[in-house]
Amino acid sequence: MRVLAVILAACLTALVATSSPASPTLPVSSDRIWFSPGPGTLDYLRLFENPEEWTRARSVVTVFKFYAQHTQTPPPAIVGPNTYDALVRAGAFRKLTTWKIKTALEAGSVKEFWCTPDASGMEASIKSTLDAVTAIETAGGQLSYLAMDEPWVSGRSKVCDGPALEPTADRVAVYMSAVRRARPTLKIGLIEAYPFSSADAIETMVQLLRARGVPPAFLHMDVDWHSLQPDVFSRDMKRLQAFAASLNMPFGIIIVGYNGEANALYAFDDGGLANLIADTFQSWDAMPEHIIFQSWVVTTTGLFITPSNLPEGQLYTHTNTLWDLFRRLRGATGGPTGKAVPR
Amino acid sequence: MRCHRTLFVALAAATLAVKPSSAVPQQEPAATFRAGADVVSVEASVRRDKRPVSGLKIGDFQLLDNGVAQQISDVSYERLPIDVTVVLDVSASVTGSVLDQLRQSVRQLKADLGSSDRLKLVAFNMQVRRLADFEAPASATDTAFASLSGRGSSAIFDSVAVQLASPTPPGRRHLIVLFTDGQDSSSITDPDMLFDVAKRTTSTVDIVLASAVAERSASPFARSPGRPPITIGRMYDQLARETGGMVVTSAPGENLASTFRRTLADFRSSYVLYFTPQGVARTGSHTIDVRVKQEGTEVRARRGYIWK
Repeated sequence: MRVLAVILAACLTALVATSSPASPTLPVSSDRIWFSPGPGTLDYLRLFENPEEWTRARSVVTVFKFYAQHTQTPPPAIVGPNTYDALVRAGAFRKLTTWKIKTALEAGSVKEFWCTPDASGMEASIKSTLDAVTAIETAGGQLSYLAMDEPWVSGRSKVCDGPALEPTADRVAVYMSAVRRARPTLKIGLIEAYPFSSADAIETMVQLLRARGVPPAFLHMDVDWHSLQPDVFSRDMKRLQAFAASLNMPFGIIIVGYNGEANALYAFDDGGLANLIADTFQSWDAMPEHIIFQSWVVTTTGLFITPSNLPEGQLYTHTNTLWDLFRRLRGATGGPTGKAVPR
Repeated sequence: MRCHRTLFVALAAATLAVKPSSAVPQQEPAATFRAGADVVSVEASVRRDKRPVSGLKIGDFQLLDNGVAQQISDVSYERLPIDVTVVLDVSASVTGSVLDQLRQSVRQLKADLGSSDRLKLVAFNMQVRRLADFEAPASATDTAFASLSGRGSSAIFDSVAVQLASPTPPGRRHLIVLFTDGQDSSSITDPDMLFDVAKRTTSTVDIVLASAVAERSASPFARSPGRPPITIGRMYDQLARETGGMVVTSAPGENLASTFRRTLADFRSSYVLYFTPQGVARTGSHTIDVRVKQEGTEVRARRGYIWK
C-alpha cells in the first residue's frame, strides 16, 4: 500500500506540474459540439419530426442552440416556418431533453433599441430573455446555456454610449445579474465578434464583467475569417483560448458561413474557417472546448433558409458539413489520429 | 412527434380536441370522430360536370395507401376553419392594372372568408415579404397594397416553399393561392426541393397564372444533374398535383377576383378523409389514391405523404 501511495503522489505531482499558468490545462468539455441551424430553414422542424434523418450528426451534437426569435409570438419573419408554436408541436424543446442534448439560447442583451437613457431599455431586454427562457421551459425544455449575442457590437454605437467599453459592461452586468437571479443555474456566456473587436478588447470586456461580479460562463468567437490574416487568427485564438483557460472559462469558435446563395457556397465558408482552426490548434485535445456549427445568413430573397439541414448524407447540407468538419477536426478522415486534418 | 404523420395528422389529431367554431358558416355539427395517434388525413375535391359533389359518406370513398385499401374512419365536409395564404408576384412584369386587380381580388377573398377563417398576404419579387400575417388586423392588407409596386425579378419557389413548410395549426386547413406570371429567377430553392417540401407538408397549393406560360425552363438556375430542366408549365402542374391543388390560367380580360373566389370555393367544398394506415410500412414515402364509387365523378387529392 505504501508503494502505491507513493506512485499516486508522484502522478498527482506530475499532473499539477503540467497545469502551470504558462501552459494552462484546457478543461475537457463534454459539451463540445454545438449546432444552431439557420433560423428559417425549410427542414428545421424535420430535425425533430424525423430525428432518424440525422442520427450520425446528432450522435456528436451535445448542445442545440435556438435563437430567441424562435420563442417569440407573434413570430418574426426571419424564423419562416419555424415558429414557436410549430416548434412546440414538433416537440423540439422536449425532445432535446429526451435525447440528452443540452439546450442553449442565443439572445440579445445590449442592442441599440435597448440603450435608453433610463432603465426601461434594459428592463425590456431582461424581460425579453426571461420570456424566451420561460417559453422553452413551458414547452418541456431545460435551458442550460444562454449566449449573449455580441453586446459590444451594438455597444460601440453612440446611442449605447460607445465606443467606450465600460457603459456596455455596466449594461451587461445589469442584464446578467437579473437573469441569474431568475435562473441561478443557467450558464450565461458571451459571444463577441472578431476581428471586429481585437483580442485585447475582448480580454478587457471579460475582465470588465468579472470586475462587476458577473464573469461569463463561456466565451465564443464569431469570426469573420475573410477579413483577417491566418497567422493573426492563430495568434489571437490561441491567446484568447489560454486567457479563457486561465479563468476556467470554456472557449469556443463559431463555424459560420457568409454566403447564403447556395448550400455549397455556405459550406465553402465553413470549410475555410475549419481549416484555420485545424491549422491553429492541430490536435483534437487542443481544440476549443466549444465548436459551434451555426447559421445566420440571409439570402438575396431576404430569407434565412440556408443551408439546408438535411439529408445528412447529401454534400453541403448543414448536418453533412457538421459531421465532415467534426471528423476533420478530430483527425478521423482516415483512422482516428487525434490530429486535425486541414483540407 | 412519433405519432404524427406529415399529411394532416396534426390536423386530424386536433380535430379531437378542437371544437369546431360555430361561427364558420355552413359547418356540419362536430363529428364524434375518434382517432388514434397514427391517423392520416387527406383532402379530396370531388366534382361532377365541374360542379362540387356534396353529401358523400364514408362508404362512397375508396382510399389506397401504397396500393393497399384503407378503412376510412371519418369524413369531414366544410367543417374546419380555413387559413388562406395569398402569395403574389409583384415583379417587374406585373403592371399597375394587374396590381389593382390583385388588390380587389384579395379584398374579395377576405370578404368571402368565414369568421373563423384567416388570411395571410405575402408578396415577392427578388425579396420575399410577409405583408400581413394571419393575426394582422383587417386593415393590414389594404395598407400593405399601398406599398406595392411591380419591380424586380421573381423568387417564386422560395416564397411558396416557406409557406408550404409552415405547419398548418391543428384543427385548421391551409390553402396557398399563388399568383404569378412566369419564371423564377431569384430563388435558392430549386424545383426538386420545392416538391420535397410539398410532399412533407399539409397545405394545398392553387396556382393562378396571369397568362398561359411558355414552355421554357422553370428556372434558369435550377439544374438537376442528368435530367433536362423542368418547364414552368410542368413544374406548376406537378406542384398542384403533389398538394391536391389546381392550376388556373386567367383568360385575357377575365376578372382575377372571380378566379380567386373560385379557388376558395373549390377548397372549401373539399372533403377531408381520415384513416389509420394498415398493411403498409410506417416509414418513408407513401402514395395515396382516392376514388369515389360513383360514375362520372372526378377526384383531386394529394398524391402522397411522408411518414413522420
